[in-house]
Amino acid sequence: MSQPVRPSEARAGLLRRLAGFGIDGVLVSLIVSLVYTPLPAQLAGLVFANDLFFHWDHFVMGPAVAWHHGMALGTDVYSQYGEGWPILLDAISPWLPLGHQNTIWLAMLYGCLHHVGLYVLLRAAVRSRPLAFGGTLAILATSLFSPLVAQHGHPTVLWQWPSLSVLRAPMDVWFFLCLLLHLRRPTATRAVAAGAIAGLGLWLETDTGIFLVGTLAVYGASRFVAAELGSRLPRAVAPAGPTFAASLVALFGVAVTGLAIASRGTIFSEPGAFLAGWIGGVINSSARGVGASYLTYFLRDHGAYLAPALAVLGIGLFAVCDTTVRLLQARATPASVFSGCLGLYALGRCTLFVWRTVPIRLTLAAIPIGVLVVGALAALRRPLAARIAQATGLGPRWLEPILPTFVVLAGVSLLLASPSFRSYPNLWQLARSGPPEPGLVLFPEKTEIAGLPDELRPVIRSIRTVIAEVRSLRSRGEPVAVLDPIKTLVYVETGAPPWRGDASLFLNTWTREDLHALRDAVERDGPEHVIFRSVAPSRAVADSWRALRDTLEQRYVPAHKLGVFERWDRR
Amino acid sequence: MSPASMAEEGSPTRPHGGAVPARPGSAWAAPTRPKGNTAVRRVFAAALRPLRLDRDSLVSRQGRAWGTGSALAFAVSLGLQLTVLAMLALGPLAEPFAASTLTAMGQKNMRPENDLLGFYAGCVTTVALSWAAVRLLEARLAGLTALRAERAARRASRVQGVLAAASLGLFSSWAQAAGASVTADGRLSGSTLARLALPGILALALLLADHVVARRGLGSAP
Repeated sequence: MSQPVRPSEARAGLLRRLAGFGIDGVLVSLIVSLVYTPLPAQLAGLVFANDLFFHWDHFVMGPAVAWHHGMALGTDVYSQYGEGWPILLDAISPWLPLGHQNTIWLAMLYGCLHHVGLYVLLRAAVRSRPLAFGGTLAILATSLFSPLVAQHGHPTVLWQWPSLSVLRAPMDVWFFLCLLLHLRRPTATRAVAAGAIAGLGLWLETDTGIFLVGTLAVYGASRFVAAELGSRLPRAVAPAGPTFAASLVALFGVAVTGLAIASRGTIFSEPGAFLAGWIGGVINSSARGVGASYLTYFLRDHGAYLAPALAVLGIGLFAVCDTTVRLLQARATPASVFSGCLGLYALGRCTLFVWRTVPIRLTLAAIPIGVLVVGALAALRRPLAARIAQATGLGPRWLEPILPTFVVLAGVSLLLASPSFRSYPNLWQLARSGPPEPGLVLFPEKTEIAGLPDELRPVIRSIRTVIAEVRSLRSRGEPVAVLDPIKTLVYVETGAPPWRGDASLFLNTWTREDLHALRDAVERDGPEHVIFRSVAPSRAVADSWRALRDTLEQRYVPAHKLGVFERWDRR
Repeated sequence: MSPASMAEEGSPTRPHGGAVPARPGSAWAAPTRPKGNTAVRRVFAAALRPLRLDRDSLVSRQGRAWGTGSALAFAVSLGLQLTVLAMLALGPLAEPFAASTLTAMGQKNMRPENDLLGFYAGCVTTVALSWAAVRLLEARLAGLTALRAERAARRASRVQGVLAAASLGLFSSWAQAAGASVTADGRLSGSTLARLALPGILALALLLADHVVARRGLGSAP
């Protein structure tokens, strides 16, 4: 029989809970204030000034524009990273028009939400506010505000590379939160939610989605092994078999429905073409071994980062090995299974580092590795306090807060020490340094994409001229192709339909076969007008530029100059 | 202490593998007893019998945690070295794409390699090594009295921990130095690779030697 709770105790409990919510609210606001930037135009300008939106176009904008104009993702347009984001961006375009600045701003907002989710995950995992908060700060300092971002050479932010941001793995935090809750109380709802989130993750981002699906499969297998060998995990509330089946149905239901929508049904009618445009990049990297940088080059050029790389891999491997041994010894606990799944997912994220062995890719594993480290510190808290108490004679209750305090201080120190954090245009930086220099604006009528340096003035003028030209051609109903990396920007701003989706150009034209296919397409199906650069953008892409230029000379005649571009008309 | 211990607050402990009765009204159930006699369970039982020694071990929970933790650390240290070595040795594909098939950007960015194969093989090997390392530890403790087992576990944890850290540190610094001798096509010479294998081999040899010495020294006493 439980004792009746006294009203005074109930009141005190309620007050404690409310105070706890208040503290959580303050900490969450602090986290949001670090990630949020109130200057979307400056943020977009910072990205544009560095790469003319090359990475955003490849990541999401190219597929989004193509989808907007009725093309099928995967089948008609290569959508290497995933299918979900382009569709979501288009779905909200009636309220927030499709554009680079809006997309980057939305990504930043999602970054705020994702890091709040990270705090909630840590809070649920380690049941300590300071540890969760300090851990979130430390993870921010090694991912979004990683010092490696500042080594880029030009002032920039991690948002320049969406594939390194939280958009690359948008569902991981929510997935692991579900997994943790399911480990503590295995209900059918939580299993289905984990499956659905993994499916959503696969739809939004292909490679990290595969890692989530793999983690879910291993989690299911771990539960099976744990039950078979007698590990003590909380008993499933619902029968395990049907629950697992429902989770799988949720996973594949969400993923296949999403892919069917993205492909406009071509996943069933032209599966080969769809798969090549959806998962071709992953297959190229894994089956054909197409890497972008050897490990030996990493040793030669970035040898100092070998130790951090080994630490990241080692933590992930340790978690997996520890869980495996515990499972086989029938000593697995919810916490060990959770950390094993995190470790496995971290190793999956490390695959992205193996594909392209450059130091900044280590930031991709920051979240799962950070959660594992904070978990280990949480487990150490009490034994450490007990040991110090034994040595000093002080009460352990006084000593237990030492470690969480240290973690918070470490997180704050890491942030303050990072040049990427100090230059990030968030509220704190604005309060300290005031508003940034206004700089040039790409689109003066919309005051979008601002803070551009003066040396970009010729490029800006040329882009504006090209946009005006394409608008004029479009108003007359004359089709035009922009054969340049700025194509997506021009299509977005003018509303012109892209020619042949997001054709590979210059920086991402890697094989002669691709180049010949593009030349053939220009010769055979080229539109009435083509916008092309009058000189090669750089020596590295001079061969591709020359080949396309030769093709144009055969089939087109130059009409007139548009800044650094030219308009060519079909003979 | 392992990261696996996170969120264990409130969970009942089970020292020495003994059963803990379920608390009334708790979500924590009593240990699930194997039901039936399936083929899967028989295979597991046959394959894992040595590891079950751990459940009957006389070592304290703390001693076991340090012993197992350091055994895993040793395995992970060795596994990491193997993984990196495999990636360095397998490295670039013997027949990369012909330069004539690539654009200048392609030649710069398309580097066919076996790194992923080395990485996955290394990860799987590390898990197998961790099983072997824990099994070795269990074998070392088997048959000892409680006091001796506790002492042996602590000694083993110290030795394994030091060997793991020292060999990985040495490997890391040598590998970093080897960066200077990378050839233009992204390869390392056989002698460099052999030198990089030394820290791991040495650590393994020392661990086995310590194991033999410890078994003889402790086992001979009454």
